[in-house]
Amino acid sequence: MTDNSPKAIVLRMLDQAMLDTLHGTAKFLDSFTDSAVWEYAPTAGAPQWRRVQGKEARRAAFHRVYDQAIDTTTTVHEVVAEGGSVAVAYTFGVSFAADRPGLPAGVHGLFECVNLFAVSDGLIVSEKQYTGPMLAEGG
Amino acid sequence: MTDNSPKAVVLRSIDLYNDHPPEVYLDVEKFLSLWSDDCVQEFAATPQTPARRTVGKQPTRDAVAALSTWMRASHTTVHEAVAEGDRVAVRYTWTGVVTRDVPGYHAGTVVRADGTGFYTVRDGLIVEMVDVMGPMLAGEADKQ
Repeated sequence: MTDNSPKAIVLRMLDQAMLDTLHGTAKFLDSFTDSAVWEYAPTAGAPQWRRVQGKEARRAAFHRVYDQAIDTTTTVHEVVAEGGSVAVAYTFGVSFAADRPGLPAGVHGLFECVNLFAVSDGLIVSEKQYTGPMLAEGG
Repeated sequence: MTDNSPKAVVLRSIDLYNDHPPEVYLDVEKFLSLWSDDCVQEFAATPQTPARRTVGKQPTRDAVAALSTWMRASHTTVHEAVAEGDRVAVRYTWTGVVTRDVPGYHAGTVVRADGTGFYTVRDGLIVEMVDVMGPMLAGEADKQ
């Protein structure tokens, strides 16, 4: 029987997102409401909060970035869930076929990330992402 | 009666962090009163600081003493806290005020950083914290 707890929904979505980067799909968005909101905390390269609203806007952004990805990895370190809130700490790795700002082509960049999700009625309604600087790289 | 649930302990610790006159950076002993003597603090790298891990209360005292030479009015605003078992995740905005000109900041500048902390609480004390914080930026918090 499928576990439809908020924690299970978020973890399934993260697994699907990894598959999507390999296959050029964006099926992970099936776990979100149509009007879901994504917010990204400031980083050194983007020192203001950024916001994406709506699944189609997120789909376009995802393809714009990850259609050029040649490898991605996600290592989940910790998940804390309470009610409809889920916090996930993980290390994200990515390499691209072409040079990106701060990440040359073919180099695998690693980033410490924490995402907080709000889940309601079996779908994710919001995601807030905090990303550390690139930790390490390997060819 | 005091609520000693892990979430209540973490939120009380942050209240103690904020409980000091604005002319000082932090009352470190008040803040550390809810941390165990062998507490572990891990800070992920930020654009300005390398990753670091400390054990015990003394490294925090030392860090606060160093920060107090050029900052005051340290304050953490909690936006969200999520608890499960002995673990608590917090999303926050930190602010402080620069008290003298230092590289990158003029005296009087309000600096802020947005971040998250994952805490472990046992027997009413915080035993571990893993912190992922963004860059320290000039200006008031733009996010609540």
